[in-house]
Amino acid sequence: MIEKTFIQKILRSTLRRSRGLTDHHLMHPTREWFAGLGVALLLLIIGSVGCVYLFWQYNTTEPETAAVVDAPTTIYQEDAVNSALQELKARAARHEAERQRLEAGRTTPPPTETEVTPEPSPEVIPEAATSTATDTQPKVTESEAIESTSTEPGTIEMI
Amino acid sequence: MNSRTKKIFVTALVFLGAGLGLCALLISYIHTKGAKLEEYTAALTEKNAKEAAFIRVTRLVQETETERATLSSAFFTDESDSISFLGDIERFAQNVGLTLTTNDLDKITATDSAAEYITMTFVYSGDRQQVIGFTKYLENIPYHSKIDSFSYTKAQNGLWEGTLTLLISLRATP
Repeated sequence: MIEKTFIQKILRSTLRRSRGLTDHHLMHPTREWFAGLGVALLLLIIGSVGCVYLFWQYNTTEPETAAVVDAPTTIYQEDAVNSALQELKARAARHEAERQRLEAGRTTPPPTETEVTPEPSPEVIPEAATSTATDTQPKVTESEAIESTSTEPGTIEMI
Repeated sequence: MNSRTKKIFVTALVFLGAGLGLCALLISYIHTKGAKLEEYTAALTEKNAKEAAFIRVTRLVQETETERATLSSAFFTDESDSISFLGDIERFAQNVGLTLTTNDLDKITATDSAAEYITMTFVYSGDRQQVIGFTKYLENIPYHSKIDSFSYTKAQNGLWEGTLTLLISLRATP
């Protein structure tokens, strides 16, 4: 029968460190030399990788992607400007037409002293007024009081 | 380990330490310079972009000078413009035989925006065609304007009387 002490003895003999042949030399020049060479080579490789990484990092820094450029942007709304100009031109034409129509149909001579054109004779004025009135007959209702609101011209957005 | 070996070992350690320290110092220096380079590059890029934008805007301003002047003339610059405008209107009304009075002249600000207007109310009387023609004349003045209200009534003496409130936009100050 296997006893407990026997097992312990086997374990002890198994786990005991085998001392073997002891080396009495403290220094091994060849081994240390190669170890030094290996460490130096390792440092060289690490340094080279670091240098290549630095070179790559700064070599790929592009001016366009270096920063988000916040340059001011100016938008010229050409369509809106052209539309407004056309509207103004049309209004000016209508305004001038109305001015000429009113001047042609005036009932009393202008009182201003700076008037250059000769005053129309009183006999002519009613005829002119009548003919102008028929020519420019507006399409309005005959009601005695009219409330009206005009349309506003296109919104002009300036730069 | 004899004393000579120890000296060589210590010397090697000192050289190794000095080499590593110098290496770390140089790497730190390179990183500092690299960060500055990025800052300079960013500043240069921003400057170039602003310069390009400035050139674009300058060209745009030069090219649109006429249009801007035309549009600008469609607005009152300030309240004083309304005085000369009223003078012109009153002279013209007198010239064509209308009786015109200006009842109201004020500066208002729109409730829904910062737009400012000069509001003026005209009361004018004459024969029917004149009143209607003068209303059209006011409606089509070459300004950024609108008619706020308008009414016309037949008076006792056979003449017609129009009452019109006109709003002309003031130019926004930059």
